[in-house]
Amino acid sequence: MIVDGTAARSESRDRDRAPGRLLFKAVLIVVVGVAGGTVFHAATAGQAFTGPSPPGEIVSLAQARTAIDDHSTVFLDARRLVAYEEGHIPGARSLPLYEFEQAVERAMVGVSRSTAIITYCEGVSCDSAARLAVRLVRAGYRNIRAFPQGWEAWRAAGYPARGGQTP
Amino acid sequence: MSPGRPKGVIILCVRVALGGALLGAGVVKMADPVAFVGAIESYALTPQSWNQPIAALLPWLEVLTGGLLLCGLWTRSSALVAAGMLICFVGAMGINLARGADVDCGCFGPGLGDLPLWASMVRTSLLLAAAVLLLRERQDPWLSVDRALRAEASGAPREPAAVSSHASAATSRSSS
Repeated sequence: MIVDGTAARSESRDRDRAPGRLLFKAVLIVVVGVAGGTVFHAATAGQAFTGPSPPGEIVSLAQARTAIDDHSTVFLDARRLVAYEEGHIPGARSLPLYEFEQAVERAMVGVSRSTAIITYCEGVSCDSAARLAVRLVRAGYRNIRAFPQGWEAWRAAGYPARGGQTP
Repeated sequence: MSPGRPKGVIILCVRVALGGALLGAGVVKMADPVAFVGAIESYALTPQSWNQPIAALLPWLEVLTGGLLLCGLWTRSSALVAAGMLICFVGAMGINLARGADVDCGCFGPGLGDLPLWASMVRTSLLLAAAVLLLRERQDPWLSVDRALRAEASGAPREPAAVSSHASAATSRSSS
């Protein structure tokens, strides 16, 4: 028993003295994980990570501006609620993409399946608007368009903006 | 019952819980990478161009770390990697809580359990505590590949090791 205990103590000491080994293995785990993810990403050419193209027509900045005056068109803001509350296109409703399941019922009150809908997000660098459009099509909405230039272009153009609560 | 048994059982449970949680979280994210990109985007902490690479790498790291913890192979190193990831997750949640943004955690796929962000942060903090506990545990855990490999290398029987570790501690105390 004493021999076993001495061996265990010695073993424990060895491991105490080898933080480098601990770190080396940890780095190896990270490297293998990163390599796996990189190979997967390269193998799918990144397609697994991007939503499909917007299912409907693309709306230009000028068309979006005109659509604002057409009160039958519903604008949907795919950004986070905080971003929406900081500023959004007048009349737009908040429907954050990542909270779609929880928020869609509230956001789509009074909107029929054939209502004209325009989705937007921050700007050309985000694809939430396109992905939101896809999810709405899957949910049965038939008249969806995306406004890829989004809030950035709208704000840069100096068009009217609103901040405040969700309608 | 040997004095080390309750501790061994606790460590085993913690290891399986943490490993299972990481493995499950990674598999769910791998299954729906688009949703995970959306989750990272909703945290609004990283440049847009980083979101896809993060969504590509993180689930692999979670699955690998979770699998290693479940097997008990390189347990402490896996716990160290897990702790690093979990610190990042808790930090990301904390920043969004401070901003007042109740984003979906995205930890186990979109909208799982509909937990508010603070509750997700508490859950992640518990997992972080589990990782730290495993990192601090210097004995090979029960039912682990690490322990089997060690026993095989030393030719020692497996079960008495828990007893011998206490004998070692007793010897250590008496000698100091």
